[in-house]
Amino acid sequence: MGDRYRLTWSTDVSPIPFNALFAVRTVLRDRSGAPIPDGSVVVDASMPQHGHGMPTRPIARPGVCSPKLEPGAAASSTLDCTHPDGVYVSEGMKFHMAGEWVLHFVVSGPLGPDTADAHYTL
Amino acid sequence: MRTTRFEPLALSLLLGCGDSTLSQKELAVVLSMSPIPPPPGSPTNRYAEAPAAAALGKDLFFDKGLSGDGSTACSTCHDPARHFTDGERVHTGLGVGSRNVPTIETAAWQTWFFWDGRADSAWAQATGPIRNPLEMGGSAEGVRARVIDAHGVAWASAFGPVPDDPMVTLALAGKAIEAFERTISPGRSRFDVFVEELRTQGGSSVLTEAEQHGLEVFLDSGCTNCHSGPLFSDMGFHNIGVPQVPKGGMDIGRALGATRVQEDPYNCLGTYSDVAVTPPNALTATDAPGPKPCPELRFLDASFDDWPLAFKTPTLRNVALTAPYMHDGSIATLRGVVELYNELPGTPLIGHRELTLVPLHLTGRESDALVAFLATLTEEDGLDSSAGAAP
Ligand code: HEC
Ligand code: HEC
Ligand SMILES: [Cu+2]
Repeated sequence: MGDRYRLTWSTDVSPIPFNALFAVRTVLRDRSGAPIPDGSVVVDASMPQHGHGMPTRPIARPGVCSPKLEPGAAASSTLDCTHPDGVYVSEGMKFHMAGEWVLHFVVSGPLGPDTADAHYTL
Repeated sequence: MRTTRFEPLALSLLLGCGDSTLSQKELAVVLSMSPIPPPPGSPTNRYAEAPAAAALGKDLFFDKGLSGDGSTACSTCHDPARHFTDGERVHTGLGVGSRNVPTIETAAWQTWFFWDGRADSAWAQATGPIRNPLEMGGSAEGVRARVIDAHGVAWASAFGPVPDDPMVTLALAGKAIEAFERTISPGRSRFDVFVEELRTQGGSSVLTEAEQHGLEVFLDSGCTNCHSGPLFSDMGFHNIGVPQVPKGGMDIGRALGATRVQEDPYNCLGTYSDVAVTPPNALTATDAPGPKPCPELRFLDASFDDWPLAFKTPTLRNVALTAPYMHDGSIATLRGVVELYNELPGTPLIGHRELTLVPLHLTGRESDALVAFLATLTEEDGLDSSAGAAP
């Protein structure tokens, strides 16, 4: 990770299960440790030694959303979502093979874009 | 007599020179392969456990009247006497297809159906062959007419009146067939007895020397990377590079199946599914906890790089009795399958062979032992319960 953010992650099932769906929970903070509720975190993963990713396409939960009524706009079209306590959840991860995995985090937020990798052996 | 043991200290004095020991890691893998647990639930089919539906499903499975010309039943290709396969290279129904008939004994445990996984439930699967012109050549309307004619009583006790909409009727017929398939399992094998004795007595000599050697070869050769768990399948899709002899086009396997299951009106998210699908638009969802329906389908990546020429890992239970092998039935014997893994001949026409596979170059003795081990996965005493007998 660059040094714009501090990122910690955990999974809903621990250890990460073999060949089953799991979710990643990321907490995004600034360097002083204050949570960032208005960013986004996209999580993906790959097996560098095998040259492939996951057989699934994870989906980031939108967070806590409220419709934002813009003058003249359809009420349903715009949503205003925040991530209280800087918590971002991506569902639909699957490690379908045993071996070396790398989780990729792509962050955007008020401090600009950033990326981070984390290694995990299944 | 050869005995496989795993307790390194307590029983070491009992080991003769021909005996095997399993490391703790190997032991964990072996224990994970038996017994077969009860099947998971089938959330898209509210009749999955209903005995009346299973009884109807059994009638339907053996009924040639569901086919367009009255000649072909499910059981024509899925013959109970052959562990629900037909012994042919590729299937022959009303026409000749391009795929080998897989067993249905593990249907209750599966996530994806067909070699390419183009159905996501056993009931959705069952609606396919009925309408496939090369298989049964029937139709939803034809099924509705047939159940009214020939299955009225069993249908009424399972579902009540026959719905007017043929698509709904066909879905229910599929759900009855799934309920029947859930009464079938691969059955108990000598391997299961072996694992049970390992677990309860710390050692077993149920398998012959060659068979135990074959188990070691199986564990050492990475077979369990894909043929894992009690059904000897990860239920996933892999390109192992079975040489294809394209006839009228290449069979790209999962690359097409993944798209087709997303488009199938009978899939988990469709209107015929018994799963309550809310909300329809994921964007309006909040972070409210709790299970959301159809996760496997919703998170499926249909354009995954490794899908071209990937086929579903078949179960190895009863595999000695279900020749020929592979999605196209191109390999006649288990020894031939082992030769494929020994040599990995040729290069797949598209995509690439799974990178974890390396030619095994097993000796003749090791190859024979591996085949002997695979035969220990064969069910012991004929077919289970009532599933085998035609009514
Ligand atoms: C003409 C032969 C034929 C008939 C009739 C037939 N099948 Fe099949 N069945 C096959 C073949 C071939 C496949 C694999 C097809 C594929 O992968 O595209 C298959 C696949 C299946 C599978 C999936 C197994 C797996 O591991 O994915 C099930 C379950 C099944 N059939 C059940 C049925 C039922 C139920 C019927 C009757 C409604 C039926 N079949 C009728 C030939 C047949
Ligand atoms: C990378 C995953 C993978 C590994 C590792 C693997 N297999 Fe397979 N196996 C498959 C797939 C996928 C198929 C079906 C391929 C096809 O039809 O194109 C298959 C087919 C088979 C079949 C044919 C079964 C049938 O009913 O048609 C046998 C037998 C088999 N494998 C045994 C083994 C043995 C023994 C090993 C270890 C030496 C092994 N496999 C290693 C994925 C794997
Ligand atoms: Cu891999």
